[in-house]
Amino acid sequence: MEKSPSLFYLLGLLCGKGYILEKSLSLNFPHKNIIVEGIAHCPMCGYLATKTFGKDDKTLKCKNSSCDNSSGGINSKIKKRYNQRDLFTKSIKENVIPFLKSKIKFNYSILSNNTVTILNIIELNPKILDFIKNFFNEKKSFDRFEIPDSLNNERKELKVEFVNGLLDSCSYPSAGGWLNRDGKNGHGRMRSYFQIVRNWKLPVQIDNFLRHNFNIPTAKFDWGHPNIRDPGLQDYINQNESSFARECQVGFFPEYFKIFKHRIAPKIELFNELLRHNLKVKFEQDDDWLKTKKTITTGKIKPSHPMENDYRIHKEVRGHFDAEWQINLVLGCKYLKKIQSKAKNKEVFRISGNLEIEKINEVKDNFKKIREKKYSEINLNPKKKKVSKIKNRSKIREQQTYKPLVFWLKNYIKEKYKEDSEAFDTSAQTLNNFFSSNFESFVQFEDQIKNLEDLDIRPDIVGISKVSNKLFFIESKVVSIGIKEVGQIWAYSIIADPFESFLISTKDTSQSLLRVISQTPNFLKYKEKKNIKIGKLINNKNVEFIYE
Amino acid sequence: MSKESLENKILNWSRKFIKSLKDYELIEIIRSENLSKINSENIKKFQNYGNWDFTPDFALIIKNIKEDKLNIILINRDNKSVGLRSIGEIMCFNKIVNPIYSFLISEKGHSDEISYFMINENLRSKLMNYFDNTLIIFSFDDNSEKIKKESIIPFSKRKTLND
Repeated sequence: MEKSPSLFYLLGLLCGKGYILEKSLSLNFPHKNIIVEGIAHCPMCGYLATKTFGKDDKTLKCKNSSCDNSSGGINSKIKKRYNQRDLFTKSIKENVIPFLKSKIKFNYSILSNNTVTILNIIELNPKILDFIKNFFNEKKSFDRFEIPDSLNNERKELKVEFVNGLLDSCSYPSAGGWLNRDGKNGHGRMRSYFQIVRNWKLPVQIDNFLRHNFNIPTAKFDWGHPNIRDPGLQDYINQNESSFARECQVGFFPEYFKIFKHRIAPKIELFNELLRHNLKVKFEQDDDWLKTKKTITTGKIKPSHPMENDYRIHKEVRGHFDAEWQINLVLGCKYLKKIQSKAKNKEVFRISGNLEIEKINEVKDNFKKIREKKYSEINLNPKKKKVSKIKNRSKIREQQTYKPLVFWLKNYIKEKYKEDSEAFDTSAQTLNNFFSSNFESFVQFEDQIKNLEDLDIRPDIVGISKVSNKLFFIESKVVSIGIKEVGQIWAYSIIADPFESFLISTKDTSQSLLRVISQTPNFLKYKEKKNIKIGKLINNKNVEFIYE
Repeated sequence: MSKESLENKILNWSRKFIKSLKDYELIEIIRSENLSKINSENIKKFQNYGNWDFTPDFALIIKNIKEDKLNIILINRDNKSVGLRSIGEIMCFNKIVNPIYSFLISEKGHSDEISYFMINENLRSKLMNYFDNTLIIFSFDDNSEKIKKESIIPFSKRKTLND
């Protein structure tokens, strides 16, 4: 099998946002907004033009303080506008597929909506599919893929194409993501971003891969960690506790990426806009995050955050962090490790960035004291929000059934199967975290969990036997169960194939559903010999089955 | 797009679609009515209509002229992206009614949450097939009443709807 540029471009696409299925590949190209805008430059002096805060969106102001347009007046229509959905599909057909097909034989289909275009690759040569599976160490999706060390040993053009694939699948050139810097001929240094979803290892691996193979720096890491995303606790205070749990962004400057190329419009055009701007403005410093001072002074110590140990954070980086680089270090950045190896005490370096101090206890105590003091000085009272009382009341009622149903399910499994189990409500934590925290190995559930984890909505209660690993789902309702209500739990059950699946309400089942169940064979069936069981929750404690 | 304009698009498209079916004519369009309770002589001609205690967004009654037989098409619309909840709902209707066609039409196509399942043929068929038939999901072009070709699921129906 030939190791071709096309194959390594495909590997990059997969690594950024792809899935490996049994006999096919699925490449996702997300495009969140239908329209994306380019950079605005002042028509008078050519400086960057930005939004005028407090005024309407139609006018922009020039960043050059000596320009007549510095207080506004530039028409925002000077920005180029790109229709992402149309351009993504067109580019996939005209650029991506022909390039892949130049060396790889396959068939394909395209699926697209307003936020994503999916290229489904089928009928791939089994040898190529095996190579791809092996490359990603048998992992099946972008949130688990890592860049293997062996890639460093491939020839340069293959490594370039791997990065091209990453750029097309998970990088976003953005006119709004500029760094506040003055250059020789203007202001604002434009950045593009890799956006890495649910994969904590990949961001550092991308950075290290670029440095090692191309001597290219990245500019900034924005981790989905509360100390980084919500350092002042404002979101936490305003009851948006989980706002930190977003993708990781790795910012980079386009001028260092000229060796690479996008094949997806409008990424091509946007990237070129950013590049032209930075080259014209001319920046002398390299703004490499690795070269910034690592010492964490008192002013840089962040207050403690109550969500620092949240389950959504990767196990290795739960806890307190005062700087992005500290997370990079823990997640394996080899360049930081090299710096750390020169420290008199490695732990002191990890906490404070100091290479000279030897005694750890004093540093630890001092940092702890400062972050706790800063936390104690924050007013934790939330700003008042208007809340719909009616909506809240109804939500609380259904949530009140979750706890009793968790207890009931554990008892049910114990009584029926004589097996100990765990059960939990999915509004409290994700399935993936639940399994990883409660079971040493959950390999047998990985596919099922991943399938469910990707859903915006999930069953209300999930249980699992600790003995036989049987899965149980409950969908809880506080309305009379009718035909319509069956649909949701039926769809979940089709996808995840639980051992038993329950639809339980505090109200009686509708007569029409009972009639349908009695007259329509297999109406509740989701697999051979498996039917959804309908029940009623009595006194918020016991379940009486209406149909099982 | 407002609910009304999506519904108008659906109605116009439905009429054209039925016209394109050989040997079929449109008899009645029922909008957002509980099919077991509506006073429609046409619905009452179906066996077991009393079990149809649900409200699809559209039920189109069509007649096979050659066989002089009534058939039904069920359509649900979704102003958001299509997700598992809306697929599950219309599939429950389909399993009871066995319509000749069943469409789930959305303003925004399918949601990201189901993208993975929609390209996994095994899961897709389990989720969307009923009797010998399949649910069809699609969305319209923003600026016309044409179907967005790439939004059609399953792929096997793309040709049918485009023709």
